[in-house]
Amino acid sequence: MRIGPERDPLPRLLAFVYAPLALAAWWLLEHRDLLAPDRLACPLLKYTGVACPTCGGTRAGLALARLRVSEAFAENPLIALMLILLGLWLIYAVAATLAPRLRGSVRLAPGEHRLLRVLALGLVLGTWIYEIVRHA
Amino acid sequence: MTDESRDDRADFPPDPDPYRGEGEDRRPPPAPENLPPWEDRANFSLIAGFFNTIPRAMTAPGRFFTDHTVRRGLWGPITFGVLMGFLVSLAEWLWSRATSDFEDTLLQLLGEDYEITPLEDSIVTFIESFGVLVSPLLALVALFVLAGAVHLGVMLMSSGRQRGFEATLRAVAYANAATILAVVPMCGSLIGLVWMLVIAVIGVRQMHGIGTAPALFAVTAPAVLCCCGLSGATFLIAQLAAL
Repeated sequence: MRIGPERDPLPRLLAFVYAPLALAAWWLLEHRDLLAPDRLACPLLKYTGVACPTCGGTRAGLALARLRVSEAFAENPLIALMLILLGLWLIYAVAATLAPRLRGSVRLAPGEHRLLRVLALGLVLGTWIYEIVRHA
Repeated sequence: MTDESRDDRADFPPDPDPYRGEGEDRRPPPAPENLPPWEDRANFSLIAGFFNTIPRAMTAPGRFFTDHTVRRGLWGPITFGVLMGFLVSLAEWLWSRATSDFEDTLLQLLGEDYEITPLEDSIVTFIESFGVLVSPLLALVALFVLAGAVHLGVMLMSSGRQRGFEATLRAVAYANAATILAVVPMCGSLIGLVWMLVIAVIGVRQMHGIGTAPALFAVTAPAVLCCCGLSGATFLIAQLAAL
């Protein structure tokens, strides 16, 4: 992996589109009681007893918003990790926009791409097994 | 050649360029831009461009997205997606108005004893009253959320050869053409959604030059991973099982 000059500013600028969406999602999560939570129970878990890989994602998001990192990972490691990466991306976008010398693009060698793919698949499957066992 | 680029060549081989030989440029003249009619103001008016884009994207997505011009900005695909979202919302609102009695009868036949709370009733009333007005904003949000999720899959599956977020956004935005099927009552929205996914898969494949399987993964993985997608499908199956 190496970091070169920024090839395309769009991914960085998109952070300013997704940041308000993330804020809106966080606000909705904080006020989800307005939406009658008993009616929003996951039908998959309710009818089959099997959790999906994103089970607990809402609670993980809420825990992260309250800076309870270990609780977020206990709820759903996949979503917790993705939200942390999203947060880091937003911080990078703001910093790189203000300070152009921080701008860059990550380049991965083909072998590293394959490794990343295997890790992503492993993370999804691992989280799924964890959630199934947790709700069993 | 700089030291920087020589290092890159050693660790990260550049994309193959079949047209460039030793010491000569055998690159053919650039192909003409394949612009969607919606963005081709030289040949189509605004309205003609819109109504020509829909059948082209729906019936020949492979040709529509082949050599599709990228780096023309996001304005064209975004406006198309937002306009489609507004029209679909309008059509669905009109149909829900026209068939509300029928839907009540259908719910009774299904044995539905769901009691709506006052809050839910006010939300439904708000959506029925103002849903069409806020639909462009919702379509814009949905477009960016979907395109962002699909692009994550593309980045994972394309081994770094992808053409950037704009290409994904274009595939997703113009795939929205199929949602025009919402003008068909009852099943139109569902058929349109499936058709849209098919167009999006073809669009991602053509735009990024990746295989069908990676494109299928990139488009469907976010939906499959999404709890709502899975639970929604299960809910439908459970409803059907209760018949």
